[in-house]
Amino acid sequence: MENLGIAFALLGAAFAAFMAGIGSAIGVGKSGEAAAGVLTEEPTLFSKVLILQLLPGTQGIYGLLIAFVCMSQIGVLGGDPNLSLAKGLLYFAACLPIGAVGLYSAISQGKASVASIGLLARRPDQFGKAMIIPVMVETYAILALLISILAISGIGGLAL
Amino acid sequence: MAVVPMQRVTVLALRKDRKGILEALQRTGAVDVLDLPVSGDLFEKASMPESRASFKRSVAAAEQALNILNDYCDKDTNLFSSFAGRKPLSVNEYEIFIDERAEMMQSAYRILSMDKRISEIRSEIVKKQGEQAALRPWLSLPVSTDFSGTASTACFIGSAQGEIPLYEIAAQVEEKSGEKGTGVDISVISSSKAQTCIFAVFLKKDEKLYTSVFAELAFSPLSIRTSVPPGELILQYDKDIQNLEEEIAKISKEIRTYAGVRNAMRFMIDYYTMRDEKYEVIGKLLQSPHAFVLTGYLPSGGEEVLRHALRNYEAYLQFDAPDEEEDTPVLLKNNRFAEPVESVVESYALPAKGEIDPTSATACFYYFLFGLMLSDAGYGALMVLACGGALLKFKNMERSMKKSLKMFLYCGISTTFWGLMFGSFFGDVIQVVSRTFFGHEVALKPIWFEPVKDPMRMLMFAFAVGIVHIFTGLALKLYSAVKHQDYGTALYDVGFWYLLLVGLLILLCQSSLFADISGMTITFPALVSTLAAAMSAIGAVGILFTGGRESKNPVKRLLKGAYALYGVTSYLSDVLSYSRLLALGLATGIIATVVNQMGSMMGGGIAGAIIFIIIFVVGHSINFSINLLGAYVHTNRLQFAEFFGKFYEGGGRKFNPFGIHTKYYRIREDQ
Repeated sequence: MENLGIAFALLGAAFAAFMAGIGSAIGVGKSGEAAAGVLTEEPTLFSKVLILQLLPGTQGIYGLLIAFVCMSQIGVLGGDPNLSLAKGLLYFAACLPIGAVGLYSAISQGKASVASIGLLARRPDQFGKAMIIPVMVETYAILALLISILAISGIGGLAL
Repeated sequence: MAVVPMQRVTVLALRKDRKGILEALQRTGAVDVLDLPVSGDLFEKASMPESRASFKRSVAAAEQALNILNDYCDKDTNLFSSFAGRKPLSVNEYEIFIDERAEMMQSAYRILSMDKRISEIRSEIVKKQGEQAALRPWLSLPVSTDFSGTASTACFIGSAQGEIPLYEIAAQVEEKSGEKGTGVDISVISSSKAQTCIFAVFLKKDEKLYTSVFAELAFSPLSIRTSVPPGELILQYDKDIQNLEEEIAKISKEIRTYAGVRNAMRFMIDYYTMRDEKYEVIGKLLQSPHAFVLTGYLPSGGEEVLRHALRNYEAYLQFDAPDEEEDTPVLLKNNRFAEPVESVVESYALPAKGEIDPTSATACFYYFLFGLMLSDAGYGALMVLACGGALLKFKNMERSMKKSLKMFLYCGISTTFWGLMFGSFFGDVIQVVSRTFFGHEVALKPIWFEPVKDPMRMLMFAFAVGIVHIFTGLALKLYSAVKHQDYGTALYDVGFWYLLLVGLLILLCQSSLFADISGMTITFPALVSTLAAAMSAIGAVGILFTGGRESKNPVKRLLKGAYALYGVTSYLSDVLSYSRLLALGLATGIIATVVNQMGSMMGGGIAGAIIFIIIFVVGHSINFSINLLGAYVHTNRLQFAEFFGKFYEGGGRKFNPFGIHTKYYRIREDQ
């Protein structure tokens, strides 16, 4: 039972990585379909369309980031893996925001990206506006990332 | 740092000089021609849709020919061609090219027709291959497919679905034909899971009987009718396809001999684009039988250039200041530091009538915020090297390309600066390499502090940057209001807000909440606290009473004022939005650290070094490109949503002068 702490902490890290990763995969996939469609008509838009396609990809990176910080803090990547159950649960809780918000925001951002790619196909000169609309969604992933980072870096110093 | 003032120019000249004057104007590229409505009987407009359509067709033909040549021939451009800019062409060369335009267009159409022939042949090959595939099951049929029998025999050639063995077919035929049948000779030509093909011979008098028997057994007669046996026909088709392929090779070879005309094609594209642009302007002129009038906008100070360009023609030029409410086109002019960010402002919106040009302020914050988000000295140095190198190597670069490279150059400098401040150079590569390969750790000490170790401090710094950014936005609103002598707006929409926000900020800094979060305790003298409380109270009351000042109804006015006061929450969320500075900065640093750590997992030694280099290059390329994209889009977002939201609406029309907007060549004025 006393080893459950590390199990929960790693569960949290895995949750952050896979939830956010799934979201980004869905988002980038959706926008990729739209991007490929536009490119059949306008191959010259490749670089702009690629940027729009990649926008929902950042959540996966944020998930990876949290997973990595978490794993290095709990000692899975070398170090002392002795962790109390309470701390393990705290790490698990700290990983929840980026996992859950990453999943949903990446999917929604993917939808916004699809719409923006459609906009770009009709008005290639409006790239700035087309780009900023999906970026609005990402704010929430960043806020979740922020809470996850602050929480994880705070847990290390707690005497539990 | 400003919007260039515009003036209205009217050119009145004789119709015989129309071509010369328009070409001179096109070469100066200084006038945005207006499309004025016709008034009175004297003038009329002559739009020339047919000529313009024919120019567009020529452009399309030359473009297609160029694409075809690029498909068939070795590339004559490389990855860096887009940096090189348009080739200069002297007026003499230009005129020589023009004289040859008939031949050039002939080559273009010849290339197009050859390409068309190739696609026709290709579809013919596909058709033949399809027929071959249909005939393949009948390969061993000894007669032609339209064989109908001899003098006394008839035959049935057909197939049924599924694999049916011969004895089964024979038994079924016998059963169906009963006693009337005089015998039939069935041979299976081929059989597979999909179908069984048979050839049956019987006496002519039984033809009706056996045909209906086979129909009953679900055999359908072969629909391909040829006078040659299938085996021979397949061979014949093979030969045909080979011939067709040879023809394709011959035509491709001929197309390849045209490789040298690619530059001519590019010239044709440019030439007809220019003519189309000229004819578009002709459509906007007011013309009488002997004279014409051109009206347009010209940036102030351009009079001399225009007079000089038209010095050889009898033309009357008049310059007027535009009316107050006239919708003049917008041209931005900024110093070399701010100029690159003009395109960012433009991608949001150009300043509307009377608005100030936000480029300079935007530029300062743009470089600052971008550097703060990427914040790695190694990545910054890469940007500086790449952009600086390209700028030095390709002097002839297009203006827009030059602007974006300069923007990223400045952003790179800022990134390097912040990287050094936070002690990040490709993450912690110096520490990792020195530890893994040289045994003792050398650390790159941050000049300021390491955000990974002290994220709260970085968060406070990010909020402070946000407050400065937002207050600058308010200050620009104040500046704009004072400039227009709109002191009401200056006081009500800016002054009161400043009072409220500054007051609240001071109160917040002293609160225990702030002390808990930031770990800093700030205490002001009691007088300052009282003053802050008074300031925020005055601000809040002021906003409550003036926020809805355009409404006449006093109740409505107060309600609107209360709603305006509620807007203070939006300032809170705006400031919180700057937390992305911390999140993105940490993302760059931590992922870079992950890459370095993965690279060093194999330990020291030569094998370890090789693995390290591979992981380093791949990992950092990915991290660099993703975070470059992130820094770019989020800097834009902070500018557009948080900063511009405070003072800037935009909506101006871009100054779009009549000029030479070519893709490949730049006509150089020798004289």
